[in-house]
Amino acid sequence: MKINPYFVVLLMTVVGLVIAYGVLAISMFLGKRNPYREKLNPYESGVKPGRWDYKANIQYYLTALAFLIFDIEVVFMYPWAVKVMDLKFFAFIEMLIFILILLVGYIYIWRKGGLEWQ
Amino acid sequence: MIQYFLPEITILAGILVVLILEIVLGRKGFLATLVSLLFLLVAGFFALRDLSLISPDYYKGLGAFINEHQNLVYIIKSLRLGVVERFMDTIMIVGTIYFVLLSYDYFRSRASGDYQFLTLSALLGGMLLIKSNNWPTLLLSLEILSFSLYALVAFRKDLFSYEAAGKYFFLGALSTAFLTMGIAFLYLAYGTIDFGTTFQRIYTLAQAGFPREVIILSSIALAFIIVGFGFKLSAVPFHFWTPDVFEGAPTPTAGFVSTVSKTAAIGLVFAIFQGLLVNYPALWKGLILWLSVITMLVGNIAALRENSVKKLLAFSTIANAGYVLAVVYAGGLEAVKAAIVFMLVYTITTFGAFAVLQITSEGNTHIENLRGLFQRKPDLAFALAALMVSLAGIPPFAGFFAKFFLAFSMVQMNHPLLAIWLFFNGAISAYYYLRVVYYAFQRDDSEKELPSSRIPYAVAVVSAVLVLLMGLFPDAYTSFVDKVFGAFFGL
Repeated sequence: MKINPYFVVLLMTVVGLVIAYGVLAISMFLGKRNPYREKLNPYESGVKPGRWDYKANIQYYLTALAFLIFDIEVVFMYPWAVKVMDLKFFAFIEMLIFILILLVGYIYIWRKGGLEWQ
Repeated sequence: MIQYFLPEITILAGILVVLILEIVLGRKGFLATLVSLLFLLVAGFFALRDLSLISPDYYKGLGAFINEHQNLVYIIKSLRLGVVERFMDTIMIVGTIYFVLLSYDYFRSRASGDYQFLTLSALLGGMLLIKSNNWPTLLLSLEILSFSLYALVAFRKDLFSYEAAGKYFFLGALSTAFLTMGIAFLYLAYGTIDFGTTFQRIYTLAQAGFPREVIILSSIALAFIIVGFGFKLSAVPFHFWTPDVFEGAPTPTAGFVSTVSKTAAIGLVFAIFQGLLVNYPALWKGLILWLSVITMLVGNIAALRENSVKKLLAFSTIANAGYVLAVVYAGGLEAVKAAIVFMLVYTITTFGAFAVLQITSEGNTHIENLRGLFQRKPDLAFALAALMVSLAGIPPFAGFFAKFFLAFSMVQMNHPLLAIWLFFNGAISAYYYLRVVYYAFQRDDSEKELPSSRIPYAVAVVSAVLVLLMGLFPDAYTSFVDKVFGAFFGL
């Protein structure tokens, strides 16, 4: 039997949808319901939507900035992970150095109080 | 393979060590300055060692390594190594040593590890920028350099400093946007991000004739790229940010922007135009010529009526960028050598002048403020005079020889008019440089005290002596440049 190579993608999409909506459905049928005003508020990344003059806390931006750096770190790891078997030990050391540099930056942010929510 | 990249690795290690010290010990300004100076000296030593060891076979080991590890080719090929790049590195390291010394005096108790971290990052960005061998590496290292500089400009943490940093940031971001757009068009035209492959394709097309769409796409790309580089180089008509940023920035940072960052930009422009696009001169020759001619003239004319010494040095930076752009237009091996000598002399002279400025004009950069310098500190006044005369290009100072080599390389490439234009502009510039000296030697009856800062004092005097010695014995360093170039190209 010959399977279309994209069948795997379809399968993954279907399984992903089933798991995601399945969990939601299970909690919908089995869970207790206790709606109140704060809970019904739409909520997105710390900002209440719907008001244009909302002033976000400056701390939020600091955290977002730190998050962005480590987010991008992961982006660099994807192509590395795909190719690491071909690139052998050299690439492994390279990635270790890369992570070490970011780790120093992370500890720096930590020590300077960039992660505290004053 | 590591032995080919020792200066870069040293600077990277310096960045990490400075940051770790800041984490472990807290704010220790003196220690951080000392450590970063140490790493800079070691990196400078490695760069010079690289230069003195160079021979046509020197990079064979690297080539063999690349052939052995074809799977790594894209990682290794993102940087290009050569003798020009190493010379530019050395000049940038010299500039950064100046900068670290001056800023330790400028910030005193507020000096910290973060500051040294930003300094070394800016240097590393510049060092990678001139070596980048594909467009993503170029953009990335350009951003490392620029972002460190934005933070350094804002580091005095008052309103003027923030204003300057804001202007610098917005215009820098704009210019990067233009540059990215240009790169996208070049990619569209040649279908590759790699400089080597682009060079090959242009070479092949130059033999066969460029197709119409490649010409159109390249022209659009070049328009964008010139705007992007023009901002970084502060070439006229993209120069408006320079005086404003200099006025607001801390004095050492202004010196850094006008020397180290300019050296990186010049190295980059050489690599792109005389390297990557050298087989397609119809595309860029005219544009670069007019850019350099106008940059020289406008920079010098604008400086004539300038009363703030810091802004005056900003316009002098613009004019000097024009001089070097002229040899980018002229091309040839002599031009590269001349540009290297010029940038070295320019770095030493300009940082010396900024050191004097740092002593005399704390908070007030008006030229009247220089009055009475000769009365109070005669040796400083003589140092300033030597530096300014050297910038004006009057013998026997080094500035004359630097300009002379530039003009000589232009004449050699059959552009005598350009050389005449250069000396004509040098004559204009003599007026405002000597005006500074004139004010420094005026009498002043007020009871003003100059701050007693030893470091900028020593820096200024040493620079003045260096400029005089380099002017009296130009053979000492030009023969070294000649020797290294000869060894590299096997002449």
